[in-house]
This record gives sequence, structure tokens and C-alpha cells, in this order.
Amino acid sequence: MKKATLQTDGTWKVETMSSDEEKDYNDCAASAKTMKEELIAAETKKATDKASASQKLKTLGLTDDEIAALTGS
Amino acid sequence: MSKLRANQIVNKASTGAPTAPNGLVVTGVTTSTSYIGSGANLTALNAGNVSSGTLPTTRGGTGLTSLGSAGKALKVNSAGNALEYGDAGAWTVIASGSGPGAASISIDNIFSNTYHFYKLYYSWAEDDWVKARYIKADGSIESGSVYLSSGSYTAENSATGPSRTGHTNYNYAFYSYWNGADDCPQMAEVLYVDPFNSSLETIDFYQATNVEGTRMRHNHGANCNMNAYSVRGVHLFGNAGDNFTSTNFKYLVLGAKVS
Repeated sequence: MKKATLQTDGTWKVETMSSDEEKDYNDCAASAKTMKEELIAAETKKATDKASASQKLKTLGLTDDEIAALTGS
Repeated sequence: MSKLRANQIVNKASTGAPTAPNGLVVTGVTTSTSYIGSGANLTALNAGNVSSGTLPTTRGGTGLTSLGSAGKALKVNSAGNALEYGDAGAWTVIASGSGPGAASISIDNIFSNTYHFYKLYYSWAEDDWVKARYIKADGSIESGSVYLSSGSYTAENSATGPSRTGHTNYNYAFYSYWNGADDCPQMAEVLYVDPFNSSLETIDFYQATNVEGTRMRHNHGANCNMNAYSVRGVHLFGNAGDNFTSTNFKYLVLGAKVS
């Protein structure tokens, strides 16, 4: 895996990452992957919960417009 | 008509030039070591023969004798009394170019005491997203758990969003938070305030757009290094090992002063 540093003359100095740098890159990728998966899971659960709640409100007799007014959707 | 043939023409006393009170018409080249008199009716002057002196601004010139550095503009100086070469406009280009073919890039030596505000623009045509770290004044990259970030995003054709995200004590910052695509470059704008100031924490805010197929996201947020020291550049890296290349990555860094 390569890394590059911009030089003062505008050129790039390209070097091979050290094993520590490559490990750091991969560790960051792993943590970011976990973080995004958690974020997406939370968002998906939120959408599922919202749909379930809307259905329950509808069962209670609320119209779609009334449910939309309550949920802001 | 008579013809005067002589090797020299002098005045009567042979001490100076003779006077021609009604003028002198010369057909051919007049050669002189110097010329004194009005040039009001001279024609076909060739500027290439002007080899000394400076044409002042009051005569349509610049008042300058040399050309400025590459990329500099000719402008009126701060005293308003002469022209000079320097930065023009509110924003000055500090660096720009394309990627070098590497998975991580350090856009180094872009921040200094010269400017107060800095902007980084980039586009990256990759199915990847961009994280960032600050580069300290000694050239080392801050990889400690010092970054504080907060952001939000909207999404179209996606189950996720709009929503917010935020992190404390992370070891990187976030810019374009979602994947772009090889055929649809993600783009981002990042603003920094006085990053080289050693007594201030470096802070930035960004906005970015990413498209994957029909899924579009727009994200914006801010990052802060919770330690005060000089920052001279920014280190960018992806999340899937993709390279920043000469064809998929372009960047531009601007600086602006505060008067």
C-alpha cells in the first residue's frame, strides 16, 4: 500500500507504507465499517419502529394525514 | 538647385553646430549620438528599440521593470499610488493538482501564518469515502484519539437518513462520509480557520455529496482537534484501500486573509 506527501514544489513523494502505517489504515477501516454498520442498523430499526407505530395508530382510528402530522413524515 | 559637398559642417566660428532656421530635410538615415527636441511628430517607432527607462502609469505603463512570479496578478498597491505584482481577489490558490496513485495522501505545507481562512476542495471518483487527519507543524500526522466530530446527512433512495452522526475521541476526522462511485465523483468542500495558529485548536467544517447508483447523499459536519497546536496540512485516506490517482482525484487549496 502506498502513501504520498505533497512537496513544496508541488510534486508528490510516493513511498510504501510501513507495516505499522498499513495496520493503522486497516484498523481505521475496520472501526469505520463497524461504526457505519451500527449507524445503518439504528436507522433501519428506527424506520421499522416508525412503520410499526404508524400501523398501531391507524388501528386506533387515526387517518394517514393525522399520523403524518404526528410523525412529521 | 545647388549641392553642398563637404566632409564636415560647423558654425562660423568652427566651434559648434550650425543653425538651420528654416529646418532641415534629410532623405535617408540620420545618425546621431544623441537627440534633443520634441518627438511629437515621430512615426513608426519600434518599441523593441527601447532599451532603458520605465514607462510610468501616468503614461499607460506599469512603472515596473520586471515581471512578477508565476500566478501573481498586477494590482494597485495598498498605498494606492503604484502597481505591484501580488495576490488578487479574496482567495489565493495555494496548491492544486491530482492524485499521485497512493492509498493515503498528505496535502502538506498548505497552512501557514499568511492566511486566516483556508478552503480545500476535492473530487474523488471512487466507491470509497474519505477520512482525514491533521498534519502537525513538525510534519507528523496526528493519529491520536483527539478528534471530535459532528455531522448530519440527508439521503434519497436509501433506508437511512436523514440523521446525525458524531464521535468523540476518534483517531480520524470525517469528510465525504459515504461512498462515491467510479463514474460519479464524490465532491467535498472543507473550510479551516487559522489552523497554523499554535494557540488554537484546529477546526473545520465540510459539506460533501456522494452518489452510488440512484442513492444520493449529502452530508455536512465539523471536525475539531481537541488540542491546540500548529497544523500545517491535512492527511486524507480512504476506507477500502482505493488509491487517489491522477485520473480519479483532483484537489484545490485556497487561502484568504482578513484585513
